[in-house]
Amino acid sequence: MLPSLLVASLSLATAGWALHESDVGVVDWHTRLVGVPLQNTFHGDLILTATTSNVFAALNATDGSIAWRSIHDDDDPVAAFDVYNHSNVALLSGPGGSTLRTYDTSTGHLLLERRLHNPAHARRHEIQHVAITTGPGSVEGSTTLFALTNGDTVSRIDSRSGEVVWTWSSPDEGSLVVYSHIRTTPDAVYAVGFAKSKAAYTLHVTTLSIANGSTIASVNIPANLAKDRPSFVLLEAPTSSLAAPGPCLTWLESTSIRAAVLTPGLRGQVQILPGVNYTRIQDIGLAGAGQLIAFTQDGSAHVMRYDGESLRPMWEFTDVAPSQTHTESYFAGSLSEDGEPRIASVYWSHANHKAIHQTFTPRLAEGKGQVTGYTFPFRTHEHGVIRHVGSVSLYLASPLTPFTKVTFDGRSSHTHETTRLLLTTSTGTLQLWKHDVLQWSREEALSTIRVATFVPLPPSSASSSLSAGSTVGQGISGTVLTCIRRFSESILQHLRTYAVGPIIHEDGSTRSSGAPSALYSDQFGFRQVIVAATTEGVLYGLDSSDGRVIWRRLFGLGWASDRVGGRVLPVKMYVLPAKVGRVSDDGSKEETLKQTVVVVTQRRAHNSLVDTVVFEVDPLTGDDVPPLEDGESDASRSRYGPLEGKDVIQGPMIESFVLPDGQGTVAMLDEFLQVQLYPDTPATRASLANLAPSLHLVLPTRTSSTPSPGRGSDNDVSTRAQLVGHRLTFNDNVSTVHVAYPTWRIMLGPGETIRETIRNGKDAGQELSVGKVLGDRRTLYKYLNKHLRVVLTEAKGIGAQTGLESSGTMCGLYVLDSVKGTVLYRARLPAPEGRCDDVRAAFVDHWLVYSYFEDGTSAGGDGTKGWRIVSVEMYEGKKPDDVTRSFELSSYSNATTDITTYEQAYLIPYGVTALSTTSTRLGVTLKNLIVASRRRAVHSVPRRLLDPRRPLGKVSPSEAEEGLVTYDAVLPDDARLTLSHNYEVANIRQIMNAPSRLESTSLVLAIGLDLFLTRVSPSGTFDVLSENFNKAQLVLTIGGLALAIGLARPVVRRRQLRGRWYSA
Amino acid sequence: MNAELSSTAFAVDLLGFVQWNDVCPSYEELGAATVLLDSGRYSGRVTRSGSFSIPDISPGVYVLSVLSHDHTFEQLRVNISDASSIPEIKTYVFGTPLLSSSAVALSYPVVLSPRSKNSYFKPHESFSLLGMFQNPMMMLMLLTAGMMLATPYIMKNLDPQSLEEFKNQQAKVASVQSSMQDGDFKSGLSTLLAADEKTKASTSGAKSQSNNGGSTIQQRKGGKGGKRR
Repeated sequence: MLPSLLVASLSLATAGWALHESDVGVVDWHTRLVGVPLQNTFHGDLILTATTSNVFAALNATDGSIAWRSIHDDDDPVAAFDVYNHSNVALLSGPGGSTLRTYDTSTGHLLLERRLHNPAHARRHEIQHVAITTGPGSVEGSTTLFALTNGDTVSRIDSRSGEVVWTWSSPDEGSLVVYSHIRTTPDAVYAVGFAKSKAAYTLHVTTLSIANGSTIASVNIPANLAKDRPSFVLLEAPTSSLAAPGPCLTWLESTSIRAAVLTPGLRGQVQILPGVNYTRIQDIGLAGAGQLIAFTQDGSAHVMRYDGESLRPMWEFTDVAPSQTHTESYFAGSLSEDGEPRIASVYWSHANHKAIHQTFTPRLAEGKGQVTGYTFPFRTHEHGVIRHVGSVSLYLASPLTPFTKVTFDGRSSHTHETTRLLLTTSTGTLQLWKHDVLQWSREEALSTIRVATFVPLPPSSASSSLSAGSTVGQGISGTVLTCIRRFSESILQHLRTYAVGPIIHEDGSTRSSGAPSALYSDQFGFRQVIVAATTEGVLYGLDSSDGRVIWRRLFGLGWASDRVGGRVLPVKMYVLPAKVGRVSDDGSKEETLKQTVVVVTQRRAHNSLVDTVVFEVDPLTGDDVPPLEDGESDASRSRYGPLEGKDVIQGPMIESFVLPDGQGTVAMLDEFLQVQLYPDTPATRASLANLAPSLHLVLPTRTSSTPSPGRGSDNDVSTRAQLVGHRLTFNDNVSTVHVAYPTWRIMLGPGETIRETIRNGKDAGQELSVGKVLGDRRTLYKYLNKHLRVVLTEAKGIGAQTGLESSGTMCGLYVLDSVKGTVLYRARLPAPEGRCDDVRAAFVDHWLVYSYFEDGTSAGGDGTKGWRIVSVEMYEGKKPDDVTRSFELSSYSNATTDITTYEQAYLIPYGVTALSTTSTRLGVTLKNLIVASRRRAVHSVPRRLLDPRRPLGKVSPSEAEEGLVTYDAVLPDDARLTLSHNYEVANIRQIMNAPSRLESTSLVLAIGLDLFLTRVSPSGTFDVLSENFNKAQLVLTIGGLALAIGLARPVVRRRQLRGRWYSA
Repeated sequence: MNAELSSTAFAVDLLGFVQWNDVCPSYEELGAATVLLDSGRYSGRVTRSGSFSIPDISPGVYVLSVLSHDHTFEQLRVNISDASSIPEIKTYVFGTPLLSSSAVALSYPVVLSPRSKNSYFKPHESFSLLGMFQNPMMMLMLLTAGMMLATPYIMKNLDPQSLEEFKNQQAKVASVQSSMQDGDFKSGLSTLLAADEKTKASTSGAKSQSNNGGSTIQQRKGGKGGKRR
């Protein structure tokens, strides 16, 4: 009875919540991504791709849209795939290729799923050890698949039923020989791999009978392959040859290419190609056609062809090595429509500032071939690293390359006007070029966003006056005048918007210098810039109204760009307020009032040196912001070329924060706990010196640098993780900068490690309401302590002591005061599968929410398994009406621990991947909980349902007055609370929110594999016209009334006149 | 470590299929779906034929759930014991204790039937003239309008004494109107309708129009109240 009542009341509550179908794409947007491609194959009009985000996807080659995608879990990485029957694709995934799946390539329907071995028994090898291939011939639509898994097992599988016909395992179980390739001929399966020897790898070939998997022959080929990058290419004989010779095994030994034609009996000679010194051989996707590319020492590349008997060079590409005039060439092969191989070569020319594409068409009959070429305008400053800036060749020898992968489809025709070229750039962008025209481009780096922030746009002139004026202190007539003025202004603005339309610049390179000022906020502040930093080394500016890329910049590598190369990994991002030095007092020069975005990154050079580099950009345009000490702006270096960073710490950073001085100074702690500032000026140093007494940090440490206090000394302190509180001090005898010193430490349990530290979601100073009025007119005062931190921990190996059945891992959650180290709340949570990744927490003001999976093993549990959300609220004092004024209380007061917590747990039917609360401008509106679920959806949970004071029994009148509903353990799974509705929003890692200019509405951005943004109004849109406001009805009514007055007036006048005449 | 050992010792494959029904007639409709045990320690994807298999499950009691973007499924309890190679499938109501005795045993292989399709959107509140007139407020207004139309005829048939009384009333109304001009809006508003009556009583042409307007105000107030609930 009660649940049904609850559901009824909820449906009322949620009715105002759901979206209209017509709002889809208006209030929200969704970017579907697949991740940065690792391996691409053209398949008709589809591009099959396996990506770093563990997605296997098919893209439409015509427009770049996703035809379908199959998203794999982290423990199920895509290992190998092969197309068979022209319409199906077989995919091996998981550790050691544990799972075989087959898909329909056009629809993405899963046809078959088959476990080949238990992932727990997978063997790990450094080299590739999973492969799949198809057997010769297919009978009635059923193809035979041959899978090489674990590097030592070959299975023959029927593609239709998934039946494993036979399995062959290497007798040494992978201890000596690791197989990496398989090929089939009508009579045998060839498994080729590496045999480990002391100094190098040798090759090992085993042939198996197709029929029953018995070993025909097993031979070790004495080869001397380098240990760091062993490689060989297994070439197939062209189908045109009459006899069916076996595959040709080709490898490079010191500088000469050796080839061995394999036969089932494995008898034969190793052929050595004399004369030319080679450095490298490369499979370009034409192994099936018997071709590969071999690079020579003198900087050219030979196309080698296996004709069924021997391997010989067929064509020479000259000047493929990187030089002053051009970069290294990239090769890709493909079969044309008539089955003839084509080879494409792509390189970037420094001289022409263009990418050059060459196609080699062999004419086998004449034993010759021809090369045709053209250039295409690849924009390397946006999509790949720049090789040339001015006269300084920045990236000349950098291992980073503008293209990391080239896939080539020469299928279409003989003329190269229709050849398609798929480029994967070093920035994770996927581009399809048809001849020299860019067909489409996918920004797959957006799937690797690590840190992001919202930056509000400046209001346009009209709307700024709207928000600027205040009616307080004016007379009624003044108010009316203001209203009229605003009304006319907004009308004008609307007219202007309709006439001109918003000017949006998608392309950072073509706009004029004045154009960026056209980026204005809309009236309600829904349009903001999302600055997002990715691990692929690109910084994006996205338009929050439609998700389009406004600008993109590459992170420069500083000194590492010269010879070493490296990666820039963003760690933190801060929005800094406008620089004081450039603001005029009267506010008339608004264009100088610019916020900037600072990205704190760790640069990992390939020589393993780590530096902390700070980049500062203008969020609206992506231009470099020169640091303050540089003085005048240097416009010429911005826009083109990578962002210039500033090396702040010669080493890794352990913590960063913004000084609360209103100037937006970023402070960073290095390994030696020294504080480095950005920007580092005497003024910021002075400001740090002023603020240092009020700064408190919590740092996790593993080893104790100082002698530990008396307590806990019986344990081995050095191996136990600790949480250490720090303060900052300055001693000019020791150091020139501030140094952090420990003030308190909390010893965690043995084996317990810190996973994550979460700061309070908002500065407590912003909070408007400090209390909550109860039904009986008493008040619960919120515990608003801005020094609180939530620490999530993982404790491994405690199962042995507690005798728990599950893998002996527990997860911990602590709420502690960073000033004193007082633990105010703690929880021990179960860790299903021995992992704590499923514990998520969000903390804002006095409200803590966390989610976990209850596996029924915890002590207090009732044996129920399932996902839970726990809502915890902290209030001052022991009972209502107790006040300690926590938001302004000194942290050293004893009253900071005088709190009451209310908590309640709820069951939810979905797994949680990220949690966040909404936030609004003034904090008046309720805060809903936003949950990203494993269903690939983003849900909103109303705050009312998460009130930890929901009564267990019947609701008393005073509780009803407060709006409390009876506690029900199960949170409703109402589809209308799903913010992402039909969108499949996959693998969300993080949810961000930003207030809009409307108090009622908050923007919610979900970041993961996909991007999703929507608007949320937890308390309804109370500050805009209600959506059932009917304009037509109002206009009709007013019109009707006017008409009535117009008709009635003469009548009334006549009657009055008559009344005067005849009244007396 | 324990799990690994036990799985080598004894492991069961769980087989089942999705029963297509009116809610979800085909694989195209269902989309990619995964069948999970517990938090995903064991899982299997639903294939085009609707079947799924979850391999190598070690003994224990699990909750089977289906991860589907657009459809909801019942959860089931799966009991895998050392003794039997056939898993025991029972009903499970979400939110109840796992080992509830009221669970009903189900057949094996597992049959999953989609319970409902998620509907994410609410329909637009459409504006219809008929709907507007069906509103009780509107009916009240129409009644008043009818009264107003009828008033002159009733007045004609009244005797002079009651006509005098009526005039007195009208004077009262006028005084209220003047108080409204002085700024006492509340009392003024409450008598606005009566004042309307006074001016409109003498005309006959535009009565229904004015009623229309008044009712709209009432209707909108009603709508707001409903939302607040």
